Amino acid sequence: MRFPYTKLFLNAQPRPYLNVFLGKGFHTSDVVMALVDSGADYPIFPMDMANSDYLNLDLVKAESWNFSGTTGLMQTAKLAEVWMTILEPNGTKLCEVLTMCAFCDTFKMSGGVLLGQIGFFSCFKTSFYQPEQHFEIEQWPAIAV
Amino acid sequence: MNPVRDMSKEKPAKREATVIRDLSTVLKEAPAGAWVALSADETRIVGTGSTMQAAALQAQLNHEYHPVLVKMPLPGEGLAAGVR
Repeated sequence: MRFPYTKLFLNAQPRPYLNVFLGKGFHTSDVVMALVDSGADYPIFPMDMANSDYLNLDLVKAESWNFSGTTGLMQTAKLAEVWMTILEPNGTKLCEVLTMCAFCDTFKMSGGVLLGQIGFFSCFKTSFYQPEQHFEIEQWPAIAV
Repeated sequence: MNPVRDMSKEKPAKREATVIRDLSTVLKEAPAGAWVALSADETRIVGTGSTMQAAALQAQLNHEYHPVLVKMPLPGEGLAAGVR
């Protein structure tokens, strides 16, 4: 599936964003724009997404993951397995994958969400066509639902 | 001796132009650093807030029940997003 690059802000470069939402049991999140970022280890979402208004995750015993961004400041996230649904450019559902995501209450980034190596690139073959301003994703056959 | 390949006369690869998804006009009035809720068709702002829940709640009050949420940058903020 092919996706155009997205220009979110004035004076910003077009970037590879996807619209996604998360689900766990009967709970789902709103749709968020997420940056496809091969430099991130896991998909990272705001902790708000895990709270009772959305996924209602119990993260008390969840595995912690320490990470740092370009500032070098250490941050801590909680890892949880959730369903992630990818939307096509026209808003219809493309597919959903059961995947590991990180939830962090101190993560601040333009756009708000990152899609990283374990949990996104591990699920989708991703090809960037930067000069043409689009990218393509294809679910790896072994994990296709 | 290694052969030298003269590329000066080769035609550049034909590139297929893609129309980018440009939301910068829709988002230009959005407050810096805020979460913004866009309408499902991404043509207008239907809510803003300091949290995603606040933006989504405002969207519901504006009768948009399937908003698309995005976080605005701070003024002049670029992006180098490698995280590990």
